[in-house]
Amino acid sequence: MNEEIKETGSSTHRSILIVGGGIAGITAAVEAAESGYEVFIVEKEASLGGRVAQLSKYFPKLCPPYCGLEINFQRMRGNRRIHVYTLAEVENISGVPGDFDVTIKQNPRYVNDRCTGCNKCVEVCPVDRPNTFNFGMDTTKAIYLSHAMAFPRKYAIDDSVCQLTDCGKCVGACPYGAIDLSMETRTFPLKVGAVIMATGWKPFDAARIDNLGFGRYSDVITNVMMERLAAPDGPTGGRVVRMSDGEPVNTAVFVQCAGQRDTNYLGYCSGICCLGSLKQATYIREANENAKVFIFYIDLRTPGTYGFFSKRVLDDPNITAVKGKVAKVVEDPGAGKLVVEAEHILSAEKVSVEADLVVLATGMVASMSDGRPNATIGYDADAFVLPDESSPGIFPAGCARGPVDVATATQDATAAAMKAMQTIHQARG
Amino acid sequence: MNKNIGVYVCSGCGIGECMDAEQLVALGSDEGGAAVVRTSPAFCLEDVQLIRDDLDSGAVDSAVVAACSHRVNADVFSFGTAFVERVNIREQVAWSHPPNDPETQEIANDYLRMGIVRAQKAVAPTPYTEAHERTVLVVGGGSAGLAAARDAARAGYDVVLVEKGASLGGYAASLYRQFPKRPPYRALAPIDVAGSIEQLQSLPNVRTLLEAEVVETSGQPGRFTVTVRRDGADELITAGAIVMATGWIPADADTFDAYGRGRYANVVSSMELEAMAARGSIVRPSNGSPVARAAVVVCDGKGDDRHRPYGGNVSSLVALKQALYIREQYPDSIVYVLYGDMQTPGPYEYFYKRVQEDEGILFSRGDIRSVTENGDHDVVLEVESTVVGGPVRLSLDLLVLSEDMVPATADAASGALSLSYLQGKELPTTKFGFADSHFICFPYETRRTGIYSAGSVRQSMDLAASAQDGSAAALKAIQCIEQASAGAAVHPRVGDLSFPDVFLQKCTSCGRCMQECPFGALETGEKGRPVLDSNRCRRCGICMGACPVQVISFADYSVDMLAGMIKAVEMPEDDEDRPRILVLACENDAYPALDMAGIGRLQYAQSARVIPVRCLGSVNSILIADAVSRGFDAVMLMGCKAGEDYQCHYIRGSELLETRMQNVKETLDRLALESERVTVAEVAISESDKIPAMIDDVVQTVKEIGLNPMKGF
Amino acid sequence: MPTTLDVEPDLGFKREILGLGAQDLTACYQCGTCSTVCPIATTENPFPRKEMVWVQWGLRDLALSNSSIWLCHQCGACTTYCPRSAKPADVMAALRDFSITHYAFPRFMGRALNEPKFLPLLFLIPAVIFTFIIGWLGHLSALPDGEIVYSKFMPIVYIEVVFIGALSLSIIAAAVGGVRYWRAMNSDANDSGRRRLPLIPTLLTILKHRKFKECASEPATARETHKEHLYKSHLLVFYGFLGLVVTTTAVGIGIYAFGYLTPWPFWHPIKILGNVSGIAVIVAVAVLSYRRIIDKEKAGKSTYSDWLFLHVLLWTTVTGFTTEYLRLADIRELAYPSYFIHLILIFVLLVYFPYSKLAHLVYRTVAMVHNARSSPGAEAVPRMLS
Repeated sequence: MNEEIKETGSSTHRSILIVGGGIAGITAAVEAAESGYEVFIVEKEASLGGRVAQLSKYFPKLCPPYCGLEINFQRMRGNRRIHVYTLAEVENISGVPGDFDVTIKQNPRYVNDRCTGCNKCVEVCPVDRPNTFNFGMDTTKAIYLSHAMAFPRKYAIDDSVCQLTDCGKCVGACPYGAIDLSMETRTFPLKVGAVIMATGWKPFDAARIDNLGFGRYSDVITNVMMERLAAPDGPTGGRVVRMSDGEPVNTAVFVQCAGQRDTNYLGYCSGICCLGSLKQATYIREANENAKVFIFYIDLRTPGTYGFFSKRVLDDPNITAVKGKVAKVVEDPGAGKLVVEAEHILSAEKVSVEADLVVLATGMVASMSDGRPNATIGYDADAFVLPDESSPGIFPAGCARGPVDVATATQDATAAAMKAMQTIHQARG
Repeated sequence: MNKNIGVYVCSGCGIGECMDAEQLVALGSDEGGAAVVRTSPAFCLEDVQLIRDDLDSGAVDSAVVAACSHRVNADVFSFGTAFVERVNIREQVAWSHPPNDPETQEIANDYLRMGIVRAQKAVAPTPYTEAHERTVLVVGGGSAGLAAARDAARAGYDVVLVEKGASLGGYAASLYRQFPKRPPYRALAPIDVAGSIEQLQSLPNVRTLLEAEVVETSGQPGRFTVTVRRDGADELITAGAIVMATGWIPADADTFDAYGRGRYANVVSSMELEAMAARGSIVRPSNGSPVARAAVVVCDGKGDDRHRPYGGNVSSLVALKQALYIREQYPDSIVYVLYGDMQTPGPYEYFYKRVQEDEGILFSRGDIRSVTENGDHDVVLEVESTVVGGPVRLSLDLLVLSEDMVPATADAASGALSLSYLQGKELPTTKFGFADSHFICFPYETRRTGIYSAGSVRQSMDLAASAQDGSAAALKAIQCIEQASAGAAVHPRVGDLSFPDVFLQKCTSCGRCMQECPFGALETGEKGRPVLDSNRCRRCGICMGACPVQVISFADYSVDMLAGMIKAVEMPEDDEDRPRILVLACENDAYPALDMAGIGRLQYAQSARVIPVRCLGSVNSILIADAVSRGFDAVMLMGCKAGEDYQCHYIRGSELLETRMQNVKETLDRLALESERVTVAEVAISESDKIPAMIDDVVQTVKEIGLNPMKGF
Repeated sequence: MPTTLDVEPDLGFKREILGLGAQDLTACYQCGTCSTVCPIATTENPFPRKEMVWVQWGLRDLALSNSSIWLCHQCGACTTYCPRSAKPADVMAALRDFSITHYAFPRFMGRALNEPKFLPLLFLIPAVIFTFIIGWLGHLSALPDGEIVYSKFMPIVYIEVVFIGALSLSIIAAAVGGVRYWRAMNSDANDSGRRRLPLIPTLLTILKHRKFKECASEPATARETHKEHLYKSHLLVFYGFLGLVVTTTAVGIGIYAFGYLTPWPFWHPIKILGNVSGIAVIVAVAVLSYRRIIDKEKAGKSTYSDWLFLHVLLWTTVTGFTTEYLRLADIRELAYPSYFIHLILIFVLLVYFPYSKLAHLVYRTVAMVHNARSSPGAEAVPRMLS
């Protein structure tokens, strides 16, 4: 892997721009590079990995995402055709398939390539910031490493909280001269033959749903928060407990379609949340052998061959799936519990559960719902990138194209890489 | 062979504050006989030039860099073909053990000793390259196959497309309409099979063979030899890689026996309805009369486990589409759509909503209680657990059952490549018979390197997904051709130029290596000895672990080398406080987890000595015996999860280890040693937090059963 | 084990409901949000989720024989929260509309009130009756002389005869409708023997507008719905209407028991009650109409019968006032015609009540009594899963 800018002169380019360094972007990069193409990954965060790095486990194998990421990072380390720009965004894409001019804006990291990852800077940093990687459930210092698997393993400074030269403690602490507080945003051009949009997704803002209690009760959390809660490197060190009092979770309720399939919020189905909740039910059960879990759903969606996974999870007598959408979450202040209400559709009666923890299975929102680059790219009404002639030479991959699971995202990314490669080959004649 | 080794000890990142770097330097020159020894406060910065200069001047030919883990700065410490051994004294020593402690220093010393041994014994591999073929062979001319052929050709590769039918298009050609694939996801769309075929045929570098069958596949990536039979004549085709897109076949009709299929005239499959719709004559099959009441049942709900452990988004969407077919022909009809859970993920939700708008289509979840027939051949369907409020009985002119998609590989006659591999003609499959091996992170990889599956033979999927799959598998095929041409490995040890070398004179022809290779890379040669198809090899070393006479080795990875590293550890005698535990850690997950423990500054027992291995399956049991005879008090084999949800990157490595452990126990018994001394620890890459306790447990065990009595012998 | 239902979908019924402003119901995917956010649906009889599927499937008998359609007080929470924009509140309203016609006795009267083409006929009947009386009395050619006294124009006794006669028939018809509905509900439920009819508690609930209040005070569903104004508006119109009924009855009693002839003085308590009640009705109807127009999303769709009823109620009250003030202003040429129109409107409002929206007086009461009887003490507390 290589972080320098590659100067390319000819009018057609055997190189591919990949916007986004999540699982789809990484996969597309590795697959294309190993097929002989030059790739440039532009990632807006300080490290690669995207949303999957925040997951504790994947369904259906209940295996850690770091495992697959590590192999991909390993493949990237040994490949000089892969160039990575972190804290960077694509501002502009112009040109035609085979010959695109791209403008990249890279925000200052304030830490240069001399960083060895020794952590001395963190030890002296006086400023705390909410840890966005953990959805604000804990803090880091203003100079931070996104997470233990961060790649590239270089620290970064959050300039929204850091006092920069007014403090400068880290500069003195760094033995390697790796901190440069005068670093500025830079903009630079890039010439590529094809573009892959692997811009991914962001979690839906659950606070918009007034009747499910998120933002009002601290024990109502979202599914993405649940992943961090269960992750060994998460805010609680992997202990699945109530956020309000740190007590164990004896009863948990999963609320499916918290925003999805809902004309008030997201009209589409996010496709992965049922499987996500089934998976997270196992987190709860693993943390507490007596815990009870209820999953309230409209349709338990386990597309493809995932049906076996739901069967395996639901074979646990302590995990119950109830057909019916939760429409009310209120607190029983006396008991310190949350009361969750729904209609049990198959018995046609109103039911409720007294829960310690309520997990809202929120959906994926297209990252491109804002901050779009200036380019000829077709989007659908939900801000997903259209995979067709409306975006010539520009191919969506993974959740940029639609809400999909990791397995589909990697497939998608591989296919997008193929499309990009043949675009370049065709343009070169 | 004695090499000129340079030892470079970094003191940065807290290493120098934790241990005596000078002591390591001294060890390198005295004990290790290094030609050059140097220290630096940060070898990864300007001082890397010192190493480069030493290599360039010829003062050293191999570098042992005692610094951070090999997982960082790989590009910095890479010097062309020179062998570089990274000794991890940062993450796994300085960051995970108390500073300025003789035992901590001892770990670093041992690691350096091991590194020097490895550098001495390792040889930079010379790739095995041979004339290679760049043609992509695509088997199957359906949606996936067409896309694979088209995309490989358009990316500049020659393609041979083999289709067993008389025309291309596959399943798509028999469909009346497809459900919408683009916004606003409302109207059924025609399928332009002819257009796809035309597009393919316009490409000059595609050769299409119709009514052709693959009767034999042999060889390896870069040079597969495929025998294709047409009109009774066989033709040999050479291909660099193969895309297998043989699609799906309907499940045995008796799968849905309980639903009356085959018994009642007016119960049809979705394929049969598709044909009726294409003809424009959806009727009651019993008497050809119009349909007023019909039901389309999605047979993949939770209640359908007895039939199939998986369902799919396809059957729900097909049911929605077919309900529209019936309504289109009979505007006054009523069509029930019955399902377990409506599977319309993503934007297909909009299509579901659109179909709901049709007032003649009535939806309910439901479990089919019974299907019977009355005297007029009306189908009587009883459904329970509905949303209507109890069981219902429906009288129908027509009952449509989802066709059940089974991968073509399930039927040997239907789509096999007839591999002439020692391990069998069939492509190994995962759960439910799909030809895949790593279906989350690394799709398309089958367990036959160079053969990539695409479309419904890999997963049940719709036309759009199949085409997408075909494109992606074509990339994998191209990539494999490119890597094979350089003699390099594909996923996961991409670019590895080494390969297993068998010292045939000493081979006993036991065949274990050929049987255990997860990728069938070894074939039987003369006198029953193994012959390697090097481009099939993924370099996991499982053969090396399997060989009972240790005659299989890699240029840079061998039993001898590992044994030497084990031997290099200085063994304290009879000191109860200083036991020694050998940790053989899988480089894929366990070793990174140990690194991560260091990054998290977790402390664990100083008695552990970690050696990374390519896969636990590559651990030859003699190494364990060696370790205990050398005086190690315990051996931990730290690796990935085995079993159904295996996390082993080589599929079988962790599983094979279990059988090898039998051997190990026998060896221990023979030496009159406790079998508890050897343990297998499953550790996921994210479980660095559990590592200290795991190692402590072993230390505790040693305390309980006492030190290894073999010590000092 | 519940009995197996032989399904025979009635698509005609489905189409009629769709046509009554409920065309979005097809989108319902049976999640039960509506039943959960409904402040008054009980554990055992949650609605309106099942009503949605009954209509989707054309299961007319199931849809019409449940108390739920009339237990619903149309707060609109279900529509506000429906993730599918299927507007359950509109479906319930349409079902109520439909059920009025369905249970109507005689049935053609149900149709007459729900189809615009019969509108002229509805007004023609009282117009003919009153014209005939006026003609008989000779007032068609000449209005009564002197001080405006409406009984000179139309003696009380004639009015009594017409209204008591017609209303008696109406009440009988309403009773038949109510009994039909009651029986339909019983055929559906397992009626376990005789139990006392909880009339008094139901009446108290109605008088206190307890259900409307429950609708308005649901804490967990913070989103703004139609319910906020409905409790107050309905309370106002209900007591306004009741006030007018009391006024009329008191006037009748005054005349016959005490010979206290109209017009009564302005300061008379009964007169004040009448005027205040009239104003209340006008204000409430104005608010209700305004909300229906301005706030379509939350108030739900308004059908012909909704507007017919609101108009009749409004104009009846308005003509009541014009009649009163024209008399005080001593404008004979307008006062008597105003009174004439007022009488026609009263006729339309009262006599047709079993078939108009006003039939909810009967059906909702019947539903509430039935519900209170079949599940006494049933609270809106859901069954706890554990």
